[in-house]
Amino acid sequence: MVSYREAVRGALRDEMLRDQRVILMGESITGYGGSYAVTKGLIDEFGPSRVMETPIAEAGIVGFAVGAAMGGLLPVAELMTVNFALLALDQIVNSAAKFHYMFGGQWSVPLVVRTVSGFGQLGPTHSQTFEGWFASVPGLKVVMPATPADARGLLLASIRDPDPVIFIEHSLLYSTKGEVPELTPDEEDEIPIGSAKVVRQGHDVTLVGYSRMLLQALQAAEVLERDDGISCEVIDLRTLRPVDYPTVVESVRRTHQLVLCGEDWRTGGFGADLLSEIQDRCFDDLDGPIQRVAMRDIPMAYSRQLEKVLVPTSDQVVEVVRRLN
Amino acid sequence: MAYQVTMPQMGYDMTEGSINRWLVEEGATVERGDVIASIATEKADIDIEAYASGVLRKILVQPGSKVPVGQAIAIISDPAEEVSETPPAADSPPPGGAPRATGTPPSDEDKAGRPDRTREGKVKAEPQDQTSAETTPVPDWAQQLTGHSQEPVPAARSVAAGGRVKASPLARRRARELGIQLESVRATGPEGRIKAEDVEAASRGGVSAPASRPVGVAQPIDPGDPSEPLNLSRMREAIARRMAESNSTIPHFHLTTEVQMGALLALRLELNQLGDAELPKFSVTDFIVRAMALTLQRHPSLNAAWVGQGVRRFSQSNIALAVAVPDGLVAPVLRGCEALTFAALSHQTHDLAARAKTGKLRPEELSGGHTAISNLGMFGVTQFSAIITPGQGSVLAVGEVRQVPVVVDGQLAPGHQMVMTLAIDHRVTDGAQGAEALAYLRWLLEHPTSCLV
Repeated sequence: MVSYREAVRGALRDEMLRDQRVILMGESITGYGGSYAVTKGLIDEFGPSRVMETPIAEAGIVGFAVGAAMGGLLPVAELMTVNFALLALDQIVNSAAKFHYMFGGQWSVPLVVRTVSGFGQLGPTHSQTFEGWFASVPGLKVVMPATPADARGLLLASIRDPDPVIFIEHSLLYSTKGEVPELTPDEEDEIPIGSAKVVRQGHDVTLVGYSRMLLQALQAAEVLERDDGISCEVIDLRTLRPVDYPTVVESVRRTHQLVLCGEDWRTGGFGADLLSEIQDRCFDDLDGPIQRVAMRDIPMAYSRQLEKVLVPTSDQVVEVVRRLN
Repeated sequence: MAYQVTMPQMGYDMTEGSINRWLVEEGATVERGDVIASIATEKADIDIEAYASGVLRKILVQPGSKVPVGQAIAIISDPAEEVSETPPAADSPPPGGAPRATGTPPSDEDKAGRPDRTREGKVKAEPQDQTSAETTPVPDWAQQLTGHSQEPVPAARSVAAGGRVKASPLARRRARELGIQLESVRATGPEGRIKAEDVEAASRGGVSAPASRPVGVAQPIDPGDPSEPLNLSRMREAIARRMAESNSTIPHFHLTTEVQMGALLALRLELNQLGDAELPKFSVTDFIVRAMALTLQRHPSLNAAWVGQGVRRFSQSNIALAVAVPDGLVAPVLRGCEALTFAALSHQTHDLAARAKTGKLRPEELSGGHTAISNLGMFGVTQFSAIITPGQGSVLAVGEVRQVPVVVDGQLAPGHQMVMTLAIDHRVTDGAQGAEALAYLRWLLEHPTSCLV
């Protein structure tokens, strides 16, 4: 069993060993190993030319990384949390996502921005998640793994991808553990970007989640099976841009009911866009309105008790499914 | 471009139709607007016209065959074109399961996307161009509900928001596929929504009477009787289905009253002896229709029906008139009776009744009633109760006008009396309100000059 944190670190290390062009850059990623200790120990193995400490300047970090990527390296830039990624939005949206298109394909930007969603008494400015913002930008790919195995496989795919990838980890998943398959050298070690996965089969309702909400959906499916006899199919979206619509559509055509589980705000959240597309593709297959579980539209409270009320949980998923049936 | 000619939907409750005969042979050239076939619906025979010009490549459904609304019945294509795609088999549901009879690409003549109904009761056979945007004609019931009968609306079902049946998209699709009327399905979903399983339950013989399997007509009454069940006419099937649906889903209550008809008979005689050739010969029924039209205006609680999940009140007095025909009955509708002069109303009543007996009614004349009148007095029936037609809120059953002894000013005297029984849907209104309406109706008939103003 490997923790999510170890899986990310292992993928970085293995890819750095495999490909000299892979470099890391970020705040406190050397001595401390980054704010969530993901890169701990890599400075000792690879030295400061490949594991680069940066100033606290997110626009600069991503800007340097974009330049390095255009120059032939494969940078993996770490932004402490997705909240700080807002400072680098211009570089991400206006540089990384555009250059391949603006200059007739003369350059690619094979960049990975690793960053972190999450909450836990971190207050209103450090408890947010913005995957929907990034997923709305053509030219970006957005990945949000939920398990250690997916974190590894998708990070390998992201580093090797020729385009910029926003790779969003989750602070509450770092200590979760899971099997990461041992592969022989000739086996495919990456998980393709843009592929969702049916992680639990069912026939009454489809639950779609990603990152932490995938685990909440799975817990809800357990409860619903046990207490209500409702069989939930659970899909891990894994990639938010591009979305693997065929996998979701195929499931909805069998279950006829869909609940989208996300952790971003309800208004304008990623689930809203997903809902729009699915109802369009599956309208005549739906036996009830598509439901969403999402963060309440309120700046996060610092209080532990208030935070509990705002954050989407498996209980809410259970409640929504019961209302549908 | 190849066009599928599909079985058109004539009226919202039509679920299937059959081909009487083809008027054009395979391989013949047809012009847009040519009559290509005659079809039989539950209510009337209708000619259908070619929507597109071309060659009638293939006849898919032979005369006598019954097919669901929306199913392809023929293919018209450009003269040079080979029809490569295999049309759906005659007994299979249309592609995607959804009848597409209402899809009508916009054209110069038909910008609103409504089927092009002509005065002769013809409907253009609509092409099924898979790439064209679909629009939906306004069904009669939606016109009633919105009062926009003349206004073309792009998507009719969403128009009648208030009276719309709440059903999931999947339930709607299954209902179309199974030929089930959503109005008759019991909802078990959240917020009173019909779910797919409710439709399935209805099709298995639950609370709904499925269109494809009329209740109680398939089995011979006596299991020992070797005779074959009668081959039902389409009208018989429709009556069986609709009446079973009504009797099992509409909570009827009945109010009966006696009407003194002396004044009315005297006034009728006077009118009919005026010798004015322009005037029709007025019947007792004309007076009853007129009185009912006024009653619906005075008592709006009676001018209403249970539609979907609630009560819809109507503005016009639309009255269906039950007319016996050889193998059943039809009930043509007089629309907006309250605005007609008594003579015009009488003309229309006679015209509808005459055409009902000869099968010449147009489909739109057979739906949209708010109440109905059934008169069996001519058969010597003194009183009876009738079954409400689904979609209407009440029905008046009228008996014979008989000479009976009546007490006038304490003295016994011969008088003319008629008994009438009003059946009302209890979901729509209650006994006291119904009784007030019936009392007004009776007052009008006993003071018949009020019917002339």
